[in-house]
Amino acid sequence: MPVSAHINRSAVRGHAITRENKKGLLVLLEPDPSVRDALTVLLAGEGWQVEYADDCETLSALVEQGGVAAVLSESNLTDCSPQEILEESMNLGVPVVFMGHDLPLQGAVDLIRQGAVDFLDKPFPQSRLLDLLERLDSGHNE
Amino acid sequence: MSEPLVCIIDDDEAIRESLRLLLYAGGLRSYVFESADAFLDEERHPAFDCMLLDIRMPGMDGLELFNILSQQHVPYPVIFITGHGDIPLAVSAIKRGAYDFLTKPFREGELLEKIHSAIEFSRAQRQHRLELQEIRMRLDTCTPREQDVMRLLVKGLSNKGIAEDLGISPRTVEIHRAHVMEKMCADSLPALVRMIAQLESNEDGD
Repeated sequence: MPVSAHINRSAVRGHAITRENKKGLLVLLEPDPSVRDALTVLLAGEGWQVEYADDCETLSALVEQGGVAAVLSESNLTDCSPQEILEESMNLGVPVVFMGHDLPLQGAVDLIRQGAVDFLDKPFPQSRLLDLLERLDSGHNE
Repeated sequence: MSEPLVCIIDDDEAIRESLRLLLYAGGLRSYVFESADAFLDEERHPAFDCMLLDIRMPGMDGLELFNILSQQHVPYPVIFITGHGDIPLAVSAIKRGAYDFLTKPFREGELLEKIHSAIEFSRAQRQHRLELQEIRMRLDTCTPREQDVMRLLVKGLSNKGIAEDLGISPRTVEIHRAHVMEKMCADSLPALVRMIAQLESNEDGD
């Protein structure tokens, strides 16, 4: 599988498949390895580059590098609160999409009110995520 | 200032009544409708500070009504009342401008908290709109040349820099500058910069 020429940092890298429809860079925070793998395969298959972060520091470093189209994050992380993720990302104009499972409705509502671009209730249809990211990427390129 | 007025739209009579009483106990007046159609049928509404809108109603549901209200740029915040946790629906409603959600059964404290928050927000918005209007009006009283000077002033140019840029004398710049500060009611350059920034950020958001 081809690996794109990206400088390796402490974060674990996803693989990017080079295609004509190469898309931007996503930062993924997902503690569940099987979900992370499934998402990586889905996203990379669509031409997205995927970088992983498992804490706020790594997220911060990746976002500060620039060129991040969006942050996709599980809302229930042990090392990082959604608010921290929003703050790090929004300060640099990077949109944040949260995912969650068994979150009360108010939790999802609050995240949007705090600035998240969307909240995806797991399990969600792949098309929902892909369409959303597509819209974010084209916005990014304008 | 009169007490805030909340519009309640819910098809369940028991809920309408209990909401009305809760709000009354919390110092809020309410105006109650039993359906979206009843609300729309009424030709003239008083100025609401906030709306409590049930999602699931027979006939036109809350979301349809909200769409109509949004298209007409209704200026008060809408809080949806929902009995079931449909997250995609809630997320979509918030993204389209709904202020917040109340899930049944809700605590009295939670209800009043959200309504007060919505009312505060609504008042702050109105205040902000008035301020912008005021700034625009003042801007209109400035001559084109004064506006030129102002634009360069808020960019940080010195009087000398402005004079060079516009091809006029520094003395003339001073005069224009004094007029600008007076007409804009700005008592300092930072104050002027803030006003113009407010205007510009609002234009971006439109």
